[in-house]
Amino acid sequence: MSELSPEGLSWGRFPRVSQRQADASPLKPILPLDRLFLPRGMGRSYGDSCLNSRGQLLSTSKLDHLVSFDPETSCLVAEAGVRLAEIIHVFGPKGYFLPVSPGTKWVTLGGAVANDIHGKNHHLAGSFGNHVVELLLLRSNGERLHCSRLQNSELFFATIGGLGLTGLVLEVTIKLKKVSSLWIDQNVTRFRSLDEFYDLSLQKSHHEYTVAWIDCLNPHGRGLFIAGDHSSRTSGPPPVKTRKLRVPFTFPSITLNPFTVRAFNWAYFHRQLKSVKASTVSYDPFFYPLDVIHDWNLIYGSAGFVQYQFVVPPTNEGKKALSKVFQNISESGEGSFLAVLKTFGDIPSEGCLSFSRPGYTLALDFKVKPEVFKLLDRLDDLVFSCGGALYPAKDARMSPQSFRASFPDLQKFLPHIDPKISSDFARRMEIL
Amino acid sequence: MKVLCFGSTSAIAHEFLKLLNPKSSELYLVARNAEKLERDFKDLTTRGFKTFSLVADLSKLELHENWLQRIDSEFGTPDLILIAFGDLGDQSLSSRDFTQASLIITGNYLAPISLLTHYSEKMKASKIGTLVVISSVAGDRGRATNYVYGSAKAGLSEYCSGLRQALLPYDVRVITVKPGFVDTPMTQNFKKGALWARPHQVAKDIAEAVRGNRDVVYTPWFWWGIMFIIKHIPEFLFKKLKF
Repeated sequence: MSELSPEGLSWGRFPRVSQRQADASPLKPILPLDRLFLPRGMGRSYGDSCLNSRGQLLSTSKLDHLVSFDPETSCLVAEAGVRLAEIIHVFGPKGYFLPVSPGTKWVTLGGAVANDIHGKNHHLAGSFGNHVVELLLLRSNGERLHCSRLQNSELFFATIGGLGLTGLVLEVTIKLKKVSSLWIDQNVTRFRSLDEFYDLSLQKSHHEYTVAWIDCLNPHGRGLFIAGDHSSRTSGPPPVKTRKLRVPFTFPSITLNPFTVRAFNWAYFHRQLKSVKASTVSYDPFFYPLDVIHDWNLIYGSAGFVQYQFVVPPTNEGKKALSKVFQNISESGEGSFLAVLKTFGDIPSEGCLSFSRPGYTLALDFKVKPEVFKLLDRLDDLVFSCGGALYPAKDARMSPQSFRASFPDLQKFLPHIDPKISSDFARRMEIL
Repeated sequence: MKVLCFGSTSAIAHEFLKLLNPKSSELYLVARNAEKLERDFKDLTTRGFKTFSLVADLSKLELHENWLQRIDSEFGTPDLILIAFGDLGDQSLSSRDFTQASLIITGNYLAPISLLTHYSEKMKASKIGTLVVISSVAGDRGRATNYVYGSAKAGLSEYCSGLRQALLPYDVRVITVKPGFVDTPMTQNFKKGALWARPHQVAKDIAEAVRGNRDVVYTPWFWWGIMFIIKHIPEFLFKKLKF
């Protein structure tokens, strides 16, 4: 067992707690029963869903082996600590890709399941859990359970999006996607208002991947709409290797201030002068633009940052709420320079606590300071007034009431929590 | 390329094998623990390697001949051999109990040399091949805390040095790898600090050495400097140091 300092924090580096960690060993993933534990992958969740300051963490980093692959069905079985980057590294050259990919490849399969993550193809493919065929789950009483839609199905649906609370996932069976290449034909379109964004979302919904970056300091919501498909080109140089940039130390808190964020957003919006720009790019910058900068979270300074991601329904009320969110942020001047807006499709997520659902989802980063929490409380009111939801993987501050409002199936989930597992998030949500 | 690995379930060896190209490499894995070997076998097969495996406790010298015959008949002469097994043992026990000491010396010195003897003859005959032997910085100077293990590794490093000279005319390379502290199952009970490396990093250094022309590889690289200093401390001072 080792004490963790910075590594033990979540990606947002807030809240700051000290933690203990043990490694789950592959042959005997002995569950340390003297304390409540929490399975932990890469710790890329932003808030406290991957923290367990009153118990301990059980790292899956040693559960890093592949188990089998069936080319007939494209089904891969791998241990829960295998990182998505590894899957792309091994199966990309063979013509396969992740069925759903988040914004970073430095997450584990177990983490992808536990948060039922989504990606730029949600409108066509649903969330990660939709592509999980089976889970091998170890409960603290020693039971090893094969869980699927047919076998132990209630536990299966509780574990998908279950924030690691239902047991230690040992193995994940996932159906990979066959792709024509790892190159992406992308086109980027500028938009100057939310209405333009909604139109583009409809027009471009036949593209496999869509996402928008949006300047949230602009009251109308201007931004860049990015659409992409796996390219049909099969030749050309292999995708470039990730350059190794690294944020060398925690930046002074002053680095990100309203002025620098405004300047960044202006420059980002104007980096393309044409209203539409088409190009072919490697999968790496397309899916994982931030992965080239290791430890980018350090630029927020020692106080850390909170991410705020919500979804509002695709109704008029939802759209109105979204407009008001932008007004509120732009008036507050608390700008976020990584604001990502995405239209979720209507493929139902299957987990009891799955976040993604039809509508519009916006993700924002804010440096931790008191004014920000007041702003987010106001945004909560807007989100919940139209029946929206917040994303636990990103959260460090929602209230138990908001959590309950976000997840109507919570009651179905609660009986499946493993009695020896806890997390700071679960304690804060009062579900233990 | 045919790659034969003794002690393939060591974290460093497994990471090294993962770095090879599955399209052009065939693997033969030899390890003591059947369950771990099975898990590694599945991992490498899923990655696309054609893989063979054999469960063998290499500290049982009397069985080497049988095993080596079997490997020869199934796999032929390998292009690259990685000797990656080792046994840290228990220093305080082995300094008092010769049975324990002789186990450590057998596992870390005699067993590798049995294998090197067999394969250096074969490679001499085929006039090509690379022998990669994982020794340790612990073999560079004996210390109170691990001199039984250290002396076995010292012997192994020196054996490799001589073998390298002897095999040069036959175009057979011998690479001695001297890892410092590596965070592996072998060292799971140690308290880890800044000098500790991950197996993946060490594996990359080994792959680099195989591609390049290095004979002795300290990994991570800064151990060369640390050991340079430690080797040059005069004995009258060194004997008083406590580390």
